[in-house]
Amino acid sequence: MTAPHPRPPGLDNRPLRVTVVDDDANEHLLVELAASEATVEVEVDFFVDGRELLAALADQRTTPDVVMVDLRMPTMDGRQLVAALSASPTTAAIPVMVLSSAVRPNDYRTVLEGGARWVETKPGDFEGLVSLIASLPRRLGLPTAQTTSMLVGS
Amino acid sequence: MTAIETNEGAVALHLAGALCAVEPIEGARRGADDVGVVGVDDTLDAFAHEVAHDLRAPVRTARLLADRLVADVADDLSERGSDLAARLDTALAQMDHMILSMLDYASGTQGTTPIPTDVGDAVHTAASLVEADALVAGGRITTSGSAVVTATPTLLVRVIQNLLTNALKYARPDAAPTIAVTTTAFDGEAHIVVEDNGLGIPACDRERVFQLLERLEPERASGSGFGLPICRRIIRGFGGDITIAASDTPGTRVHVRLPLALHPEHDCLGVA
Repeated sequence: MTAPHPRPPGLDNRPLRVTVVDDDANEHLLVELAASEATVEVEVDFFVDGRELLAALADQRTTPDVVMVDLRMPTMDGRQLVAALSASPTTAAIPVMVLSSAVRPNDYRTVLEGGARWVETKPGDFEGLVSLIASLPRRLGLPTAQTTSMLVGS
Repeated sequence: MTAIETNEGAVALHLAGALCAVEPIEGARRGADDVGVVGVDDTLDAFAHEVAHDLRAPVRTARLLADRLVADVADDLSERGSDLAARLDTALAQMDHMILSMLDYASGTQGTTPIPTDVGDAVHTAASLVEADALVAGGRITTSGSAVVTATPTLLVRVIQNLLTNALKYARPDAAPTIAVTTTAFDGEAHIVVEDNGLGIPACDRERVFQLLERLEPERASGSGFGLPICRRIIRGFGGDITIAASDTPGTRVHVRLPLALHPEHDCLGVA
C-alpha cells in the first residue's frame, strides 16, 4: 500500500501536476498544446485507460494535483474510474474533473455523487481548453502561479 | 424550409425527424403532474445523447486541430487563406453548436428540479443577460408584472432570454427594437407575453417556428433551428405551453402559459 497522496498547501514553485485520462490520442495532443499556452505552469501526464492510471498511481509513477478524466472510455469509463479512485483511501482525496463531449443533465448528479469534484462539457474551441487548464489552480484553491514558463511532460 | 444542404445538416435533419416522431407519444400523456417523468423522455434522451456524443467528439477535435493548424501557419497565410480558415472555423463552430443544441433539446427539463419560481425575477435576470445586445441594437426592454410558477429557474430564464434574443435579432431594419414583457396571473395560470415591434411572423408560420430546424430566414445564419423548439419543450415540461399569438400591431407576440405554483410559502394563489 502506498501512502495517501499529500495535498499540497501550495505549489511551492513547482508546476501544477495534471493527469489526463482519455482514450483519444487527439485529446492528449490538444491538452498538451493548450497547457503550453496556459498562463499557469503545468506538467501533464497522459493515460489512455483508467486501469493504467490506477496502476501508475499505485506505483507513484504519476502524482497528480488533479486528474482530468474522460467520461466515455472503453473497458473502464470515467464513472467507474471515479468510483475506483473514491473507494481507495490512497486516492480518494485526489480532485477529479470529469469531461465529456456531451454531458447529460443526469450525468452531473451521478458523476458528482460518485466522487468527482467537477463535471464539464469539453470546451468547443481551443481558447476554452486553455482557459479550462488555466482555471485549475483557482479551482483547487491554490495560489495562482506567477510564472508563465511552460513545462509539458508526457 | 430550412436551407440545409450539407451532409452534416442532412444527418441532423434525419435525427430531428426521429426526435419529432417521439413527440406525439409524449404529448398524449402530458399532464400537470408530468414534470420529471421517465420513459419516452429517457429513451429519447439516451438516444440523442449517444448520437450527440459520437458526432460532437470528432467535430470538436477537428475544430481544435484546425485552430492549431491555422495558428501554426498564420504568418504564411495569404488573405484568401485566412478567409478560408475563418470560414472553416465558422462551419465547425456551427456544427458543434447544432449538436449541443440537439442534446439540449432532447434533455428538456430532465435532471432538473422544478421549484416555486418568481417569473418577475426570471424576466429580470433574462433581461439583464441580453442587456449588452439590446444596447448594441439600440433597443429597449420593459418588464412588468409577476407570478410564481413551478419551474426550474435557470431553464425559465433561458426560455425568456431566448425570446428576448429573438426579438432583438428579428428587428425591423428601420426601427429600434422595443420589447415589452408582461406577466399576469389569471385562471390558475401565469401568462408571460413578450411583444416586440420587429419583423413579425406570418400567421401561417406561427406554429412552424416551433418545429425542429425550421428557420423562417435561413440566411440569417446565427440561428440553429433549435431555439423555439427547446423553449416549447422546456415550457411543456413544466406543464405549460408557448405559442405565437395574433397581434394587432406589426411585430411578434409570444405567449407563454405556465400553471401557477400552489405552494404554502406563497400567498395569493401564486401571485407575488
